[in-house]
Amino acid sequence: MSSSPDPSNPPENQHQQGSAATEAILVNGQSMSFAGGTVSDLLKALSITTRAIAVELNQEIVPADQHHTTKISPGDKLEVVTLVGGG
Amino acid sequence: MDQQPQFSKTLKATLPISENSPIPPLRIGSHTLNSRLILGSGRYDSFETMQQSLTTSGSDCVTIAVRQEKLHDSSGRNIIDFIDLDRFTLLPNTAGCYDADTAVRCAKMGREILKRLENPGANWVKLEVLGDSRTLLPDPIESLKATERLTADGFEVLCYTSDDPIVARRLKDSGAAAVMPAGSPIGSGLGIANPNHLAIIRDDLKRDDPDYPLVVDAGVGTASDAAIAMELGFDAVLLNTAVAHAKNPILMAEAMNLAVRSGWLARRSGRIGKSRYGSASSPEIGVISERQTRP
Repeated sequence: MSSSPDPSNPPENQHQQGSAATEAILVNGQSMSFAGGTVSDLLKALSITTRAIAVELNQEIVPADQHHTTKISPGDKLEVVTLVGGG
Repeated sequence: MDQQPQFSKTLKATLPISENSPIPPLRIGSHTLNSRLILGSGRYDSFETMQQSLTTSGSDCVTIAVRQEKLHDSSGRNIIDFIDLDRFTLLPNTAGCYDADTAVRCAKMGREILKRLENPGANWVKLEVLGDSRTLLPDPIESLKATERLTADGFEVLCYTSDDPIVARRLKDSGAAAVMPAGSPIGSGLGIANPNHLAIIRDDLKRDDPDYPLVVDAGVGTASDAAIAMELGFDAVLLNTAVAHAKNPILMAEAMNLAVRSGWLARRSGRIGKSRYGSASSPEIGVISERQTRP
């Protein structure tokens, strides 16, 4: 793994601009800073461990077997979804 | 105070019907359902109540929704842990989508999650494309577009629609694996608002194709509504709020279980005609009275 999320700087509602160490991305409509890396790195940084999720990167599904290899770039928009009750 | 489901013990004594049931399984696309009741998993006051309601419903298919994962303060409890995946086929929905593009994305996300869970429900979807947030009635144009696109992408589409017979036919023609007209607006409890339109849809879509699956989806308020849907010749009933918001969801789930079976059996039994006047069940001759019947 070339880069991993900075644990001292967990993704929050931070509207950081122009930081050299982090990149601004949009996850589930929330702007956050991310130290860079893959979809797997982001999920780890978000402490998402359940398998019952799907990830969409710029409106395209990233299959689970590509989470490790799919890099996130500044400005990317991601959706991380799970299953909830519904009719 | 809520009653505990004391009836269950009594009913279980009569329920072995299910083991020798004359009610055949229902085929929708590549799926086979043993129960004609498809139950929603939303709006229960707890996962535990949902779990018990699923059990008493006799259903083997449960709908679920796809929503953004909470990025903070996630409770750590996932609904999947409260559904017996050996018994239930999951049917992901596109609830809350208002255009074909969003619904298609939502369907693909549901498929991706179910693939990861190795759940057989990965290849089908309950398509719901709404047109109005107050009535929750579907947008027929967007529903049609989404049905075409999802069918082309390999999905088996079970399409929620209004009770408009022409739209129902167009959805079937566009490749829907099942058409699911609303009895009345979602969550309204108004039951079957237009039984005549549902009967027309049944006649039209099952003409020359009697096994084409039709499901009444939405509007059911109580057991008699579900029975009426089945008596109209529909193959299954999909409901959620009628059970989840009943004072005792576990009992209502059992009532719905019995209602869909009663309705199916009544439909196949061939009901009597309706008459304005009475027709005695006991012999009219030999009565110990000299009173004459009217000529």
